[in-house]
Amino acid sequence: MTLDALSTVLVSGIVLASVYALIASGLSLVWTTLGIFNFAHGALMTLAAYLAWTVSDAAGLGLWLGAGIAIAVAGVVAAGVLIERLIVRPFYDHRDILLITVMTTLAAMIFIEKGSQLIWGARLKQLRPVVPGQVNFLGTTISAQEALIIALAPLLLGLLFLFLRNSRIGRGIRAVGQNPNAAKLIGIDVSRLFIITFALSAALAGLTGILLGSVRMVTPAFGAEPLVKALIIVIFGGLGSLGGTIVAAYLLGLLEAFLIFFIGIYWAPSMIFVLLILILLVRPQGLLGKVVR
Amino acid sequence: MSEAPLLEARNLTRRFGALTAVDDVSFSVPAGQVFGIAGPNGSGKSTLFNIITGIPFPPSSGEVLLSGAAVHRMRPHQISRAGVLRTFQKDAEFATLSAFENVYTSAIYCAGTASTDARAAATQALDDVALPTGRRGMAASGLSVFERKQLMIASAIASRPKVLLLDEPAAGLTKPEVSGLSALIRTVRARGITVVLIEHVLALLLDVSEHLMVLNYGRVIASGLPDDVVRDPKVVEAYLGTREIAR
Repeated sequence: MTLDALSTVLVSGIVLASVYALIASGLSLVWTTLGIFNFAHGALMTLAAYLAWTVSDAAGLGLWLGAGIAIAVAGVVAAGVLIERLIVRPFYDHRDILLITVMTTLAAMIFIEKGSQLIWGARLKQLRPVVPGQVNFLGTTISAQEALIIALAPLLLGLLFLFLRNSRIGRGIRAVGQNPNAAKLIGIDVSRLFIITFALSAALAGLTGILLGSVRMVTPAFGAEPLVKALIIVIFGGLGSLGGTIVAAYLLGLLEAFLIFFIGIYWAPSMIFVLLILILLVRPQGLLGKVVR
Repeated sequence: MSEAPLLEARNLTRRFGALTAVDDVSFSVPAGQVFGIAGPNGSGKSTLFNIITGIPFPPSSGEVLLSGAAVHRMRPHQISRAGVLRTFQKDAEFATLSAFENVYTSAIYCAGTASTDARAAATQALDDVALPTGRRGMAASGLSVFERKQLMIASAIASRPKVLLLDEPAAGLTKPEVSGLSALIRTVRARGITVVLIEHVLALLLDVSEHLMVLNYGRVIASGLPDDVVRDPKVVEAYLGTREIAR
């Protein structure tokens, strides 16, 4: 492996990892707080990319990209809140909430995907990059948009971390995630924080969709593959650990890039699963998850 | 003495299908009192706390009044903010939050204290229960059983409730630690907080309670001064079982 090839693979891995970290963090936030997986999370990415395209592309309304981003993020936040209120909240007190919400959020995913196909069609679309041009990063030339993804991911995740750690609402979200009944007892409005959690998670999915929408082609199933990767990452990082999710996202992104280089794009996904299964056999609680006794 | 009680339960009942777990229970607690509740396992003690706080369910019928105002139709977090705070037998804390963060979170949410004041309130509450400074930054899950009780009481003090419902706080404690807990409950009372205490450890109940109520099969079978109640033949038969304890 030459130094140039190493640099190219490394940079490609960091871009992948940054996208995975953003998408998986939103999924992890909902799991950590509510104890459910939102399978519509990837579809929210898709919805945001389409909304931003509709507002900003010349074939759509042709407005300023900033307006497209703002409307898209607001739109998916509203969609996230609707998902929480309509298909998650009715089952809060049900003992099988985890299984029921697997079905209801999968249904929402299909609804959004098929709805997107009806509205925007199956033809591939691509967003204009937020920043045009190319830059040199670690000796490899990448698009400025990819560089933006690399820079924004740790910034957004750092802000999320600070918010959860230091703000009143963030502390409340962490408390609710650990012990919802005790949280109610100290006067925390748990259902309000559930809505905020869904809104935050949807915003992260939306931003990821917009950032990725100018690097990849947007289709109705645009968010499906990132969702699967995000699920793997949340489990691999350790359920309930946002830090573990972020570490796992960067490890998986880099691993995927190197596997693609060495064994090709067709075998890499299977090999990733084999390696993850082997790791989970040794460490079933994931990278930073705690053993539950 | 004609003053309205701080906490009053009127004809509280909770049914689960054919089972009546709490059956027409009424009692009143004046401000500043430590009110003890005893009873055999399954007598409805914890269910009584559940329906007073609405977690996880409200009463099937009956009323709960706080300073004369009905609270039984409020949502759980509203009942807490109104001034009724409850602890659980176990897992009452937020495990991965530090001891300080646990108390701080209680201060900002339950007492509605501004963040800078909440910091001071949390420190003061931890001082009140004498949790060592070196242990305050540690995750709650890393504390010893007695330290978790200290944390529980500190969180309660920082929440500034009117009434604190303690559900078997002595569970898992050694004899010397039960004495320490007794002192902690007196500290809570000294802060002007009324205490309702469910406990199996009779020594603790008799040490701190000014009034004792005993439940059996969800019904009140005795209520009055602790020394009188433990001599009541119905209580001896239902719960105490031996003459030695009643003596």
